[in-house]
Amino acid sequence: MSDHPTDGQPFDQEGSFRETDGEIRREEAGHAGAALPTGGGYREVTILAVVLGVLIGVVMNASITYAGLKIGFTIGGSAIAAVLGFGILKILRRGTIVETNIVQTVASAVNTSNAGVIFTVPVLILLGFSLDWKDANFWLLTLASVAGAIMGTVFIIPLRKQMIDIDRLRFPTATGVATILKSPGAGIQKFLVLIAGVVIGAAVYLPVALSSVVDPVAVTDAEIANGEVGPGTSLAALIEQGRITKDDAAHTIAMASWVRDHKAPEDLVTRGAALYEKGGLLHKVSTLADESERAALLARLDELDITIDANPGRGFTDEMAIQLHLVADKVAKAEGEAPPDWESIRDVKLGWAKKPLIGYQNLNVRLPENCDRQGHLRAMYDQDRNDRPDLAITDSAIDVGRILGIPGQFALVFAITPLSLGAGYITGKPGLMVLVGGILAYVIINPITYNLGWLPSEVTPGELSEWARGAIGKPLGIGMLLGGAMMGVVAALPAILAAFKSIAAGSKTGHDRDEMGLAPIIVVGIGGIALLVLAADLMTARPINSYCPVTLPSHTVKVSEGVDPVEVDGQLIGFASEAARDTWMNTWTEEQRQAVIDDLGVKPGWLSKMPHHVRAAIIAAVGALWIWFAGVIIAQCTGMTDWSPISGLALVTVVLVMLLAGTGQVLASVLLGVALCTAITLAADMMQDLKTGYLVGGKPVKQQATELLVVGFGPVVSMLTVLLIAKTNTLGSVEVPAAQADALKSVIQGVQGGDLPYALYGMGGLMGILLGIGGFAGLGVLVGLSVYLPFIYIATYGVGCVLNMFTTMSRGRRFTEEWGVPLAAGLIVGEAVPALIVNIVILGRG
Amino acid sequence: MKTLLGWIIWVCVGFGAISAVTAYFVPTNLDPDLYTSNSSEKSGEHGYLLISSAAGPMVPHDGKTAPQWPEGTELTPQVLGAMSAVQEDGEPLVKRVHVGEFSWGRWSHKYWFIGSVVLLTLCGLGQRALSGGGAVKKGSADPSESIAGALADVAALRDELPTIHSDRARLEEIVARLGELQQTHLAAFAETRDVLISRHGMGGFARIMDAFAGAERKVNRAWSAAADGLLGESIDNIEMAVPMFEETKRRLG
Repeated sequence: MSDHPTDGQPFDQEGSFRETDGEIRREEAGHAGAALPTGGGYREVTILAVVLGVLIGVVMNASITYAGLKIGFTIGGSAIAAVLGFGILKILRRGTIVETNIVQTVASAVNTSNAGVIFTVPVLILLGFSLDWKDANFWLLTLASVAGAIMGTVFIIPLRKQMIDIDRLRFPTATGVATILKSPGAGIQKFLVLIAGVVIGAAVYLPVALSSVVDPVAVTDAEIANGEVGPGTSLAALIEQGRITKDDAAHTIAMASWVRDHKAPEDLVTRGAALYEKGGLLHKVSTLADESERAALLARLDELDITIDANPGRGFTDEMAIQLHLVADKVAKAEGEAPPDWESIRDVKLGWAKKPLIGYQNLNVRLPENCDRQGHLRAMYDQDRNDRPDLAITDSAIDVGRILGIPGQFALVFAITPLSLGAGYITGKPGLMVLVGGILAYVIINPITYNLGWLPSEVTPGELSEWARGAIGKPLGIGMLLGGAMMGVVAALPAILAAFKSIAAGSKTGHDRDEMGLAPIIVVGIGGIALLVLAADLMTARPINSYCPVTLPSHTVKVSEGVDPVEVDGQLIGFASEAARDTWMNTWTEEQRQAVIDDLGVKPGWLSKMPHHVRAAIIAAVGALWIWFAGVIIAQCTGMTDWSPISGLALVTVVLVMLLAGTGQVLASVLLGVALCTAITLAADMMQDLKTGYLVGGKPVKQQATELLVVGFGPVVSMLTVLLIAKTNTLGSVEVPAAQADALKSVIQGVQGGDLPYALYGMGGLMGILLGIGGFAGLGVLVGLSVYLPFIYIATYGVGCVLNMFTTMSRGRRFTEEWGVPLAAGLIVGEAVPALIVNIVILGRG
Repeated sequence: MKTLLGWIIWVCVGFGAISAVTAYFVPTNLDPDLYTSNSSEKSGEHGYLLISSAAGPMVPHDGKTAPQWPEGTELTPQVLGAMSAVQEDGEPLVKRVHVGEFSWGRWSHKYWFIGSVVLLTLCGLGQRALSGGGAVKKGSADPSESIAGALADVAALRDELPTIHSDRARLEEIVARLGELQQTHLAAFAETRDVLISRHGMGGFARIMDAFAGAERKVNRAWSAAADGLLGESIDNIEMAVPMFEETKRRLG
């Protein structure tokens, strides 16, 4: 077989493509006319593109990590990276379409790991573990995240042909990014349509983004003097806009009076002093070796607890009470630090009412004042029972259902998100399944169960949607997702096999230069698995507890690395000293030990009886297999709809590891969880980038190799950012709630308490499988996704899908693709860019 | 018929989901023995299940209102009796309670669920049997025609390029004609998935799309290179696309 065939046949005997040399073929073809130039010099992977991509990725990663911990979800980076890369390269008078594609590939690869880290790692802090760069746990988690990033990227590479070439999944954002990259060449009119989309998207989303930039509200002298909210003041406006309650305003006025008078109520200062002293003593007692001194301190702690109980907080936070003590008594918080002044309590972290920069609530659009015969506002229009109609438009959503007079339990609320609208438009008709599934779950099933009186009476119509999602939708939806994905993989097996054969044939002959061969994929994949085995082995060899269970007071004295732990059901319990270990082994009764074991949530896992190294290897191997499957699920979901149920799969991972290793193995579970989450986010990102690459004609092998080169940066940046935030903020507080990690914490505690609705997962799984029997194997995934996701986003996304169908029916598919898709791509960028800018502003303000 | 089956599938999903809910939201009027649990974490001191969410009407409690039975209440026969007491409207005070443990005996709508999944299976199989046949839908393109069209367009462009007077004009021609091709024949071929699967099976479909995707990617690269002003790279890819379309045509049979 010749390398340069003359028969025009570009395939070898095994069906793989052969690259041919255009110049030779041109001469052979002997076409008439002028001599045409030959190829080469088309810049794709360049040092500038890679460096620029890394820089953009690092900035995005840090800012989105911080914002993700604050607001509970992350934003995708590809569209932003494409626009930034495009702009910077144009300023530098460089940048081909495929080179800019490499910039966005690299930037999104570095950025994307943030979701994997923030959905999992902060749960350790919420569960009482510490996170410190000097601690081995921190670096093991980072190692696992890097391993996950490598595996996620590598595992998904062989599926490129199946998902993009064969199944032609839409990947809405990737399609939008390709539209952006191609826009300058597509003609001025389409470019203007894209820009119009960006402007509209930014204009619509900017108030949403700016509502998360907050400052302490100003309080007038009159309000302080009168002790109540004055007319026309900022506090009055915030109450009017439904942003704070009257109680919040009263607390803020009280605080303002303390600032003015340089004096605070004695009981609060006393409470703060006791809380402050208690904190110091707890720290000190953990370092004391002398038993008598320890006993004296414990007695003092008891006294302080009495003082704290005798001086209740009256609705003010403990942080505020402590600050009042520090200010009133001019106490320096740390050695060498100046004592805080009264102005320091003007802080939203301490409970001072916060005023957003601007938001849709400033419009104060409310539901109609619909009263009953007695003149009372109907409950449907006043769910918060404040005798005023509820807001029709909040900072982030429009309550279309109640505006139309539909009862609140039907939850027809639409998120204000041009990104979801644009993604829905690009998805088109296939996304309609998600909308139908969402309507079924949130507009039919939930209201039926509610109206039948099956749900707890304390659940109000306004809370129904979120309550039912937690108790029913998530387990049922995740089950459907898993079952549907399993069916999808089975149905796609012929395509997967054909894709593998094609890659293998290309690897064997060396002719398919566009595709990464199987050999490097296998080598790098094994490397990733080896890293994961190492991390799992080291992590499961460490104690499951941070604090010594014997040394008093409990939950305060840290475990010492130098003391041998004790093994219980394959899980290691550590101690602060040899003496504590001896007490556990020789002095304590079985009941005392069992109480601690129960407190730590230790129950045997399926592999508990195995030797440690074997157990760790099996856990890592199962984890790797699961990572591959989860990567396929996420790539399918993202490909079909643009949504990715990362937190749901993180939950399944943690449950899986706890069932295998034992329910006390929280650290190991989170370790596998962070590896999986990073892996699946990278898998989805890799596939999105490859889709964009396909549409702009990039060479897959170049994107794949470049992404593998930089993929390790992201987890390190995300982990260091989380560490920085954890050191300077209280994770789990109002300011940095770490909502996804908090949800994972509930699941971990649920597994330890045996309180997960496993049967609902199973029933969902069965329905997911059966949904795939019909004409469309991926139906289970779509329905599962719609049951699992919050409906407000599905609703907006669904509007996009319907608009696509409408324009396709009325103006034709070509119109939709040529004009609608650029506008939709603009909407995606229009939301993503302001969101990133605001994230950076929030990060900068600390 | 296929559409009807599709609607029945959605109804089955709805009934299945509602029935699944009743596995953990159980009636209050069953035999008290059915509320016992062997799990020490999920049962109270008398061995009966604890409720996972508060239940009952809102009543005054510590100056506020709260459900009559808070979360963690043990479902003893006495509590169940009070909950299931029939009110004036003929309904029990509490119809169902949320529990954290599954039990076949407590699952009130299990037969509904089984019926839903059986019907779901039958409808899925019915849809599968009715799907395809290889016929091209009215108004849709025939895959062979689309590929022939694409091949003809690319080959024609390749042959005409040497006759165009300047590189700039050639670039403009490539951008315009390949842009057109992407929106017409290539888009139309990609939409014939169901027809191709019916005619060639999933494996055959995969082989056809593998070849087609290779050709389409070359077209895409040729367009991008032309838009970037790189004529040589663009022409190379146009030339490489032609045999790939020919192979796609060959695989189509």
